[in-house]
Amino acid sequence: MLVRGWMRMHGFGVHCNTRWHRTCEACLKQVIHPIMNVPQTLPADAVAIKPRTLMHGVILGAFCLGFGMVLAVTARITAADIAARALEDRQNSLSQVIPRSLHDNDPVSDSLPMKNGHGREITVYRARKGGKVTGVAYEIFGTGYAGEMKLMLGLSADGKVLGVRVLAHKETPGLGDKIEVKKGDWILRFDGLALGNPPAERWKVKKDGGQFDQFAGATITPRGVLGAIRDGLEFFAANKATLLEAK
Amino acid sequence: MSNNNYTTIVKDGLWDNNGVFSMLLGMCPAMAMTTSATNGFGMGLATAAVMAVSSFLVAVFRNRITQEVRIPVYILIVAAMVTLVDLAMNAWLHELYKVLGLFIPLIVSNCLPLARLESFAARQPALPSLLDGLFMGLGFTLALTAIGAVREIVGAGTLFADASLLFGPAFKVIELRLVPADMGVLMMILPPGGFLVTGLLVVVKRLLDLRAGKEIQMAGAHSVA
Repeated sequence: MLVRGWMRMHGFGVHCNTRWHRTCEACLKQVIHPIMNVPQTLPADAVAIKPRTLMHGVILGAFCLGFGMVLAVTARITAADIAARALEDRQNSLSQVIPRSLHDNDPVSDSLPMKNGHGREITVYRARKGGKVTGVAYEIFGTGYAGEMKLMLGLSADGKVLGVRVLAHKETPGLGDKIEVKKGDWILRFDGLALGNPPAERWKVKKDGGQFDQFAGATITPRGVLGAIRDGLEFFAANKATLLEAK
Repeated sequence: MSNNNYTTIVKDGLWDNNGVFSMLLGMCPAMAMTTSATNGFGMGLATAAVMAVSSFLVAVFRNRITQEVRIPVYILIVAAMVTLVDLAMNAWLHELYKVLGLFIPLIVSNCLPLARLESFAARQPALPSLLDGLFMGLGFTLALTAIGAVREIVGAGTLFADASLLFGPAFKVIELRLVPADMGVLMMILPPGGFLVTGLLVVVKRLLDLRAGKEIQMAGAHSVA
């Protein structure tokens, strides 16, 4: 009745021609909803809503506050677990490039912030056995067909590749993504190699005169990976003293 | 059509008024996330969960939300649910999160949940709204899995590849290779394939409906007076 009276007061035409009212009987009878394709009928439990403008702000604010609190509590509850999972992830990616037999410490906690050859901040993780550095691992970056590729390179103390793994890339599925270890063994062929083995001019894809296979239909991706590994090896050679420092 | 009829809600959500194939909503995830059937399925399930919960919440609060601020409130509710799912999965379902994590924030930008909140949950009681959200979401899952399956079979020659990463090692058996490797039409996995397959499947759905003698329900077509 409240709706009816209000409508009569304002005049039906003026009221309902200018806007659509969810709780107004006349509107609901007339409007065919664009998505539902059905004439809307007045819900049995509809309540006439006629609040003032301030009310809208209060309602919106109340919902923001309520859901904000729910989210804050959830974030608080999950924070410790999320941090633990992130640490496990990092340990997993490290254990793929540095064999467990090589260290008795936790490389994730033995980290060293450094700047790589391009002035980019990287974190170097060191594997130690009896306090002596036996291997290092750090992120290397290459430019692929669809942007940057992030890889993790593990090296032994004498500069040999222990392992390379792709951490993140946007390469074409089915072509460039063969650099992932779960899609192919291409990335494993670098194990045991080092700067000078093969010589620098052979650290390239075959198309560029080097010794490494590219993929059929994808040359840019392997070229980017090779560039990244070469960079990583040069970084090790240039910073060997700092990296292997016993400390 | 009675909106309170549960059979209608289920049929509407899954087929008659399917979010992707009839209403043409949620096109962004429907094309971007369907490079494989597994991806489509995962994205669909996450969306269904968020839709069911947010539809329920909107229905519960429907008489408190005023006309003027309803859209911000709906978006707030969807966004809050998405963040909740994102945090909880990251903490307690981490393996699943590593596969699905990228897709989950995208649910906020999907217009299908918002459309159902506006056109259904805003004027229906809580239980039908919950069902509507759930089955619209499952219909969305069905559509995304179908698009993903076609693209994957034609594009990569596999079906449900990596399903074991998503659901556990027991699902290794549903990972199929239908066409020898390197025989796929790569374009189908790239963005153009998304448009092609989605369009063709919309046509297939219409043809099936026509054959069944149904009136075609499409957004904007005033088939029901």
